[in-house]
Amino acid sequence: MKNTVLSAKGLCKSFAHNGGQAHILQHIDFELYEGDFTVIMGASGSGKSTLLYALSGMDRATGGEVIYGGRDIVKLRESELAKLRYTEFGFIFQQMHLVSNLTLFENVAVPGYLNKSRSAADVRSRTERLLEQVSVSHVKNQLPSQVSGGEQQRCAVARAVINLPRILFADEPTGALNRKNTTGVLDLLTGLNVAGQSVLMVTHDMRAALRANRILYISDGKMIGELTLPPYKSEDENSREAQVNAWLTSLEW
Amino acid sequence: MEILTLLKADIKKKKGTFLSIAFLMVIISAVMTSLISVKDNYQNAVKAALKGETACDVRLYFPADELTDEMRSVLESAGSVSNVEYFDVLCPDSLKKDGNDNYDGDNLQTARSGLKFYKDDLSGLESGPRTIQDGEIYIPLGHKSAYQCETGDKFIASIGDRTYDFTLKGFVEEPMGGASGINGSRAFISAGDFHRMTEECKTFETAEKSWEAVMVCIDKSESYNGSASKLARSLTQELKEKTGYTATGVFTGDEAYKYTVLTSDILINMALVFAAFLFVIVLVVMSHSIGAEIEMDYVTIGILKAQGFGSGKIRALFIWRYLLAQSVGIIIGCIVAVPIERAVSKICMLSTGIFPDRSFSVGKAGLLMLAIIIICTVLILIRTRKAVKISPVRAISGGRDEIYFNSRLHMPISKKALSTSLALRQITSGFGRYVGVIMIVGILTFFMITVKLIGNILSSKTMLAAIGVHAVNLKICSGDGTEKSAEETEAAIDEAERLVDGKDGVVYKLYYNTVNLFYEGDSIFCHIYKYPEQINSILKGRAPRYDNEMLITEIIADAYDLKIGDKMRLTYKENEEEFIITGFFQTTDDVGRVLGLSFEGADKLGVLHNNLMLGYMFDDLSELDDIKRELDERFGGTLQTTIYESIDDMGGIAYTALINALQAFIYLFSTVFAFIVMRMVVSKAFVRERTDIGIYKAVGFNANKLRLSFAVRFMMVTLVGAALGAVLSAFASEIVLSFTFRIIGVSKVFCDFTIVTIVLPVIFMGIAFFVFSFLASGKIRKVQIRELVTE
Repeated sequence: MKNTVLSAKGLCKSFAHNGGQAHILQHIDFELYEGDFTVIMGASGSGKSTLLYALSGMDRATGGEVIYGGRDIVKLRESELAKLRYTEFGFIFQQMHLVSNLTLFENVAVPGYLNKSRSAADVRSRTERLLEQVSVSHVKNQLPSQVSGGEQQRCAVARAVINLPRILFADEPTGALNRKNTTGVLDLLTGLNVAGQSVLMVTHDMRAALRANRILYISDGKMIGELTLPPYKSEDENSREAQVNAWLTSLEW
Repeated sequence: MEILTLLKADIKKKKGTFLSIAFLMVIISAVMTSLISVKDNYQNAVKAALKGETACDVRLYFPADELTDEMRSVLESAGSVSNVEYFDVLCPDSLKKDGNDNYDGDNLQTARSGLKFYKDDLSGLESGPRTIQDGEIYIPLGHKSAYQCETGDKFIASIGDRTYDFTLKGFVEEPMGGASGINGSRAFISAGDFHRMTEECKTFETAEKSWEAVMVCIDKSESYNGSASKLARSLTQELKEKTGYTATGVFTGDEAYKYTVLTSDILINMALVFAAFLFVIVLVVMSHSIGAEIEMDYVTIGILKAQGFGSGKIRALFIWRYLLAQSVGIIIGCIVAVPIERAVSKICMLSTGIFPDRSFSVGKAGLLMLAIIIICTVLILIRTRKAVKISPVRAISGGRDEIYFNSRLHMPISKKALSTSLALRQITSGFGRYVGVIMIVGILTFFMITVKLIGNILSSKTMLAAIGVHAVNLKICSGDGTEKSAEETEAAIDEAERLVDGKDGVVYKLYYNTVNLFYEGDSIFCHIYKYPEQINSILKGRAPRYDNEMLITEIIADAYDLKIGDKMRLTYKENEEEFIITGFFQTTDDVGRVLGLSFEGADKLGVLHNNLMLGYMFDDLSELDDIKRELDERFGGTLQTTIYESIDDMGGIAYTALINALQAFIYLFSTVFAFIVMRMVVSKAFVRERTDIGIYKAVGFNANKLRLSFAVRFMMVTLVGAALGAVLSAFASEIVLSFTFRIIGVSKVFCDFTIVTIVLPVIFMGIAFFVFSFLASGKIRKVQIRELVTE
């Protein structure tokens, strides 16, 4: 029996639209298990990114609840959510979103500095290790604009895990990368997951989805399918792909 | 149509900028149009009043017993004269306001036909004449504020050993000599009182003393093309040649005009210079705003270009949006100008003594606003050249990358001072982005310091000196009833000078003598300066440097058709010397009919130093009592020392209402202006950094931390800009002020730079920008991390 680290019940998100309401998420129930690599898939506009942002506390749901650590994060104050972001959650964006005037090292270290329980020296040494791990230590003193997209995204991964988050959220982390860099980033995420990191990723990239041991499918703001897979092994990739493809086809993807 | 659609969208999206530009233009147009109207109104009103029944081109005064029929015949038969009228005048020994020795009336008259009376509430002029009752006195309105006179005040006229009491009943419009800046005044009493006093003074008249005089009012004939001053001169010379007598007093309508509008003109011009300063800042702010908008709208502009919009249309969008904002501001400004015009006109009325016109100078204001719009359009065209260079492909394929550089300073990001170190990094790595802000802050600081300096100048000595009042805190002169000779008095004053020179806080000193000299047979008042370089009111040319050089007023230049470089042969007793005119200066003494010589020049003429005055202006008045005590102890029997602590004491009360109003006006508008500019600058920066703010939020920064960092950053940038502004001000304020003041007729200004003058605006800017950026960054709370999502 796996531990649930994050759960959502009756989650709704609506926006004002043309004088009415657009219901992006409609009463979604969801559970994220510890140590899982969970992927949410769906067509464009299905609400998958909105769900990810609502679950990660980056955006507030308009209905329902998101429970983490026994607390409904929908009801947390802004300062409590901020603390959650630098202590418990890590986030990777599709467009990297590194702070453009900080070096790669500083981009990773700054969220670490926010964490009061860790010393500056500790943050710096962990940053060094992480940059080494994601293979960007050779450009650590460069600005984001001076390195490749792949290096930027690897740096973003390092930034997301600097505070040893319980959950790593990733929104299409390979969406802006070429094939080679995509593989590199996915390998990183897989490696982190193998080491015990819970990962929740949104993607519509089949190759990215293959890394998951659990795939959820969202359509028109509703969760309509779930596929459980064994842990990822590169040698099983072809058979996994066929299985996932068949499942997605059944969902009319 | 497409432009209209985009224009509407643009205004909606950038309504903050639109409103700020409109608001700034409200201030500029309200200030400029109201002041231009005020100036036109009082100038027109004074001109009209000088053409009225109670005014004339030349006014001559004669002792009653000296004006013979022969003299009357000479005046009346002159070809240059169209009309001559005679009015009896009483010249009392003194006409004082009870309890105020400053008021010193020259003469008493009865109300003549056409004399206009102000309504009791000063809201206008009475439609008909008033009958002055016995015991009542009316004075010109210009003297109301000059001498703090109120209806009901008691006035005492002394003739011989008799005194006559009057009650101030009201005020009249007196175009010739009724302004606050003109020394001496006429007052109007009942025919009964006038007759009684005249009859009584006949009983103790002597050969040496007569209180009766005749005021002769002369109008030029239509065929006479010369100025009123020339006419006066030719008439007095003709009288002297034909009768051996001449007038004891001469005053012309031209002189009356010049001195009636002098104070108001200088102060209104100064306010216009201030408005011009504001306009320069608007241009800098607009330039910064357009640059920032092009940067932010890089992709949008690329998309528009890809859709077929040419650079011309894109630039037209900017032009229309800014011009629309300006036009809205100008229209509202012109509406706001109406009450401002009313209020300022009322203040000017107290100075000129003339009830102003109440019209709006549509033509001039329109032309000025048109010029402003043209200048702004040119600026927009220049600043939008960048938009022409944007390539659609490059813009759409991700826009222009932000260019950051590794700062040479390379301050590390530290855990302990995270907000501050991030703020510093933001500045050092993207310095180019803050250059505009630094420039604006620098100019604003320069402006604030300069405004403070203008305030200092207005509030004290320099302004009075510029207007022609010898403003000093400490006056040392020969004591009343002293038995000492001129040489002994001069030696004592020289010694006193050495003593006071050794004291701290002397801003400037003025050491002068006065005497009447003769030029072409006319007696002219002369100031003789020991330190001519200290004269503040040189309008043109320079002070005398050598003993054969001199200054004249413009009134003398006009009367005798003189210019700089001409020579004047002056006579004092039997001595005659020739002097070269090196410049024109300004003084209110003797209604501007004054010459200026150096001590050395006067010595050539053998002028005795028997009317000396040594004056000092101090920046710190706390030691004045001690200095006076010391002077009294040492020179008590010979010299008289007087302290003047305020402008009012210095005889400048006439100007205080105007000066205070101008100061309040400048401080109020510059503060409002600075706040609007700050709001614009900070808001632009916020919009530009929205993405970075989202990123910081996503990694765990809370809104307060980000706001603090944002505000700290702006405070740092502001302090850099403010420091530069202060340095610029230290070097350039005096030059700029001297230049601008010279244009408006004030030749020399003293800029009192103190720590407060410089540091206060710097601190004000730092704190104001910190607070404003913190408040403006309140929007950080509303920045959603989901804005970073690429769907």
